[in-house]
Amino acid sequence: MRLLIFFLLWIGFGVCNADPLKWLDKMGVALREQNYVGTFIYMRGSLIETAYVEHQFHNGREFERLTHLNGEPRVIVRRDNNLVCNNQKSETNCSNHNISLGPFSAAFNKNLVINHEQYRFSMHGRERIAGRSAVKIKITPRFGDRFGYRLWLDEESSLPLQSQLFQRNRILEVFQFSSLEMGQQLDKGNLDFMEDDTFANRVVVEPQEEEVIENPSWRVSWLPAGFKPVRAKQSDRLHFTDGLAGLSVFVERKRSLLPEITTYLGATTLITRRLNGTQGQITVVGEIPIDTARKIADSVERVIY
Amino acid sequence: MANIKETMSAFIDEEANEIETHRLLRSIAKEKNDNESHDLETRDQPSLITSFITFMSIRTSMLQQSYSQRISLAEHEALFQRISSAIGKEPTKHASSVGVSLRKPVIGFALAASLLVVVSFVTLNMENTESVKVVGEDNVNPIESDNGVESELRDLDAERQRHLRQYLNEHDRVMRTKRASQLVSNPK
Repeated sequence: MRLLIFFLLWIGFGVCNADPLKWLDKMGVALREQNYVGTFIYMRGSLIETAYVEHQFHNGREFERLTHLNGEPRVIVRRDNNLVCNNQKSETNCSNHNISLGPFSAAFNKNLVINHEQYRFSMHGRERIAGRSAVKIKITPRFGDRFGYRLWLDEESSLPLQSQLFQRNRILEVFQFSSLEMGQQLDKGNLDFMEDDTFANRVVVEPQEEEVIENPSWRVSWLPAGFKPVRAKQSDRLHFTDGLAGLSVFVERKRSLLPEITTYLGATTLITRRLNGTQGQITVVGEIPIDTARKIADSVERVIY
Repeated sequence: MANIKETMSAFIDEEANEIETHRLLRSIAKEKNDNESHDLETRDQPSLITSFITFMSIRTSMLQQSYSQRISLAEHEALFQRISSAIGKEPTKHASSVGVSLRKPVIGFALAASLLVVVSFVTLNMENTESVKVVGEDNVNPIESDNGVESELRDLDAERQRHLRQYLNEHDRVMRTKRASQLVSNPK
């Protein structure tokens, strides 16, 4: 009888461990609640960034400090939802210093849940990353209209150790921890790192409110599922995101300077197309496959009020 | 021309990336249209199309295939002609715009060329079993460099490059601002 119970528990544990969505759930919790310090590398096209991250969960509150190790010295610190950028040059906001953390941010997990119907999830065994045993999860787009992800999650803590953004067999973007120490309590002094005065400039970043588009002159009649408008300060620009990727449409009504172009920069695709029946031009820029960008460009229409 | 032949070689070896493939197919379609408009036979002069067929033949020979048993040079050419005529029959819209008018033939040719490559590879690999690699489902190429953009943009003058960079920067700025919330949106 005991053997049978043990067997059933073992089977249950095995099934649980083989479910990629359960692993992704655990990843979201781990990103918030684990204490860790480590160095990670971010690669996108020819861009390579290295950052040192310290993360602490203490009394239900989250503390994080991200220190950029390449280029201009800058530190982004966070206490729950409050974000502060410290840098040596005067900046109006934090955006120029923000590595998009991709799967290394808890927002990734949230946005993935929202868009989960657009992907297939599968487990691909175990590999060793940053000296730790990791389970590999593949997140493949169902319809080829967006990029996919490979994630390597720490088998013990479920923290992401490595991620790749990919299209078919092409890797577009990589995050990888090169070193990671888990479970360390930060010094009490470190918990006050929001008040870091060692930098000349300190910018408090307010959470972004989504802006409402008022009377756009253009619209797109086709978008990949899940993409929503996020911002448009000018009527000849449209911006969309599904929380994981972004895309922008620029419309020029006057005679265009540019030839028809199809190209990419890392994970960012750029295409230009003639505006139907005019000398104007449509440019689509985004972290989307070329065919998706082309389809969006073809669907741009003038709005007649 | 030398560049495009390198791309062609990479394409046949399944090493060309998406941009290079688009560029190659665009060049081949353009050459085909030019030949038709000047009433030239493709085999009268060295061309991308004949180069493509030659590359395929060389590859076949290199893999020690007896292509006479599989698909001959003449059959390659006949297949290409059939594909070309099928593409030619496809209706095109916006004939005044070269880029747009080429789109359909390019897509058609892309499909046909892919089919040709797939057929060839399947044929080659069926016999040459020793050269078949066990390719895992998850094998991937190393991370892409920016060469695609650089080479594409290099042909543009400074003003046009600046124009495109403006778009890229604006997209990046808007999306980074949006993404900044990723650093602060962790509450459960």
